[in-house]
Amino acid sequence: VALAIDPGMLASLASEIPQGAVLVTGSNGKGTTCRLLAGVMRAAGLHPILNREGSNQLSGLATTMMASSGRFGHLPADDRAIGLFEVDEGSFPGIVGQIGRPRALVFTNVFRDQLDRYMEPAYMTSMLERAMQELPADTTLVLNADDPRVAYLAPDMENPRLYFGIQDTGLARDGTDPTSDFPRCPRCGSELAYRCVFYAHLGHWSCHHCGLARPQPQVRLTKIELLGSASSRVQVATPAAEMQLEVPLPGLYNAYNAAAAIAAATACQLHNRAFLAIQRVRPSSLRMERIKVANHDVYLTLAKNANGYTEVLRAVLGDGRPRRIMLGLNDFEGKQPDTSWIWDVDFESMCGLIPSPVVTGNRAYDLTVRLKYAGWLGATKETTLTTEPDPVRAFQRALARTPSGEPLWLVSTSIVLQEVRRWLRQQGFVREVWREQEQLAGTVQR
Amino acid sequence: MRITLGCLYPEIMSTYGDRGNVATIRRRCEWRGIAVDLRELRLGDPAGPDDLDLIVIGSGGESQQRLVAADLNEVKGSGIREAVHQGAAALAVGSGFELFGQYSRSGEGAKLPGVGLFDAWTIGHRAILSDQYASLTEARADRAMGDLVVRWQDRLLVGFENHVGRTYLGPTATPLGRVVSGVGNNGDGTEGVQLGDVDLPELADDAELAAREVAMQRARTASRARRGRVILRRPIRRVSPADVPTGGS
Repeated sequence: VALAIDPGMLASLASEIPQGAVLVTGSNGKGTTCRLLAGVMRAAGLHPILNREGSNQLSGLATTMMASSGRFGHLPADDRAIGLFEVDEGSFPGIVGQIGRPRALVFTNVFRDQLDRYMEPAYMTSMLERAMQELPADTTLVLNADDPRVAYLAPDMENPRLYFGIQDTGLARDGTDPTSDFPRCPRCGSELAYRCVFYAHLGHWSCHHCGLARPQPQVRLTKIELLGSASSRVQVATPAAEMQLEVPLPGLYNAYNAAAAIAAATACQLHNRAFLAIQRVRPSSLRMERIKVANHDVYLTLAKNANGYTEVLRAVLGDGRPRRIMLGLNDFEGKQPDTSWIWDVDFESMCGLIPSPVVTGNRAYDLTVRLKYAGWLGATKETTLTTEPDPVRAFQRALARTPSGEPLWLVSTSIVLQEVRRWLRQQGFVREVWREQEQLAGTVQR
Repeated sequence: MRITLGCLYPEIMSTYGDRGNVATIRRRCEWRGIAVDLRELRLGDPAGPDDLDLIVIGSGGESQQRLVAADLNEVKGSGIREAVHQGAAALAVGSGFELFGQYSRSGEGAKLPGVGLFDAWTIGHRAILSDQYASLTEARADRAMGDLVVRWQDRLLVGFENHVGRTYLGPTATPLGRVVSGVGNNGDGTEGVQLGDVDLPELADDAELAAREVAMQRARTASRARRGRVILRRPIRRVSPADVPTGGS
């Protein structure tokens, strides 16, 4: 609506933000990175203006700015205000020029993601590079050193670059990861070699042909300890400080998100004392939400592409102990028809770790077939796996078979999570009302 | 029984969940007591005709296609042709299927030579990597994308298609099947190419049948929505993994 009134509105309002803005984009982790960074910004005395998670296209950003502005169409005078915008990577070209003074642009990673919407990663990176040319020369590029697609983006630009990455090779995998799509050298197109791989194509990479290699990151995770299925303890080194943090979110992928947030805060010259605020950020959105249902902790976790799905499951099952998980898959008719990526999820390595799994969503049977070929059912039809396309009925069954006191995870694409959450709210387990329509619109377009 | 499964370019031609086809073949063989020697054939590896019973190639993007076309032309093409002529089976999906035909012309006008196993050629009108689309939305609109239902003999095959090139069959090529809903090779009602005798297995269980049912519903709805619109079209790329042939030569 706002854009229909004035297409230049976002640009003019964004230029009014005294402290400028930080843009966060990439395939996975941008929403979480924004929330972690918002915590750091608040601790540093800034007042971040955030778009709601998932509302990360042009209209969502415009709506955010409208909501922050007064009746005369201006932002209230607040010299501590700073923009913090999660930007859909597909919408980045239309948005980047509208943000007057971006202080930093954060790239989390580029995975193969939603090929029905974003096409292939090579196209995504070339599109991003072109759009980046619109950035002012003093915008710091905050880049994931471990992602060869991201580390070498727009090499001709002379903007300051700040790299983040994992230095602790203790958590590296043996050999390559089956979920990798093996990007080639971003400079010469040759095959890349890896000294270590953390997951997918993220790791310590180099090209034997042209000599390009992972840049040495300025913000480094020098030690990572995964603490069960809820958090991790990381040692972070920045040019100014070294500290230990407890990231209140599980898995290596969230350690990367924390590193991205700290790197962005470093680029904005926020005091390193504020970094500790990351420890107090609570998972409280559709990305990862904990809801108390009777005597169970129920975790709703969004997974929307092969790497996301794999990393979420690895985080929950990281310690090798069996856990109750309900798995969901939905397509979105006409908009996101492609669910072929489930064949790239590493279900094979999790075979047997989920007792009596329940599979749900309008593509539940596709997922069941996938799990069968991952060996979850064995060659016979004897199985305790339950397929129930209706998310609410599936959830009730999953909950009923979860032993008293044990947690239950829901790992799924968005629509299943929304339906379960709506039901939980009707039942009185959740008080907060999600702006579901908006959330739906946002996630569907993602 | 033991077969050798030659998996072509497993890393760079596995864009659309293609490794699912390989996983499915391996499992089904395993369940039937057929030992599978998986041979991954990468860029530069020769494809020996005598030791391949089944060849699988999947799909890659524009830059991957260039690499693969060059390698097929210079390294593997003759071995693959010979293996197939000696009776090896092949499953080619997506841009791998395109490159098994005569040639594939990209949107930039570059003509990538194919293996020439059958008389078909593929034309892409615009290329995304050379900025021939103004936006993602425009690039999306140019693709045939969605669930696809194809009549093959007396059965219906269900898969997912997502492609921009259009494949045309010459007089000596036989289509795999007729499109019931979806786009297919180029919108002319044909889908894929069948070379020699093809046998496809029955679906194994209720989950596979149910998954197929959902996809067919989707395909029908999409087909209704598309009616009256002009769409650029092209071939079946993904046979539903459940429908993948499992036989050897």
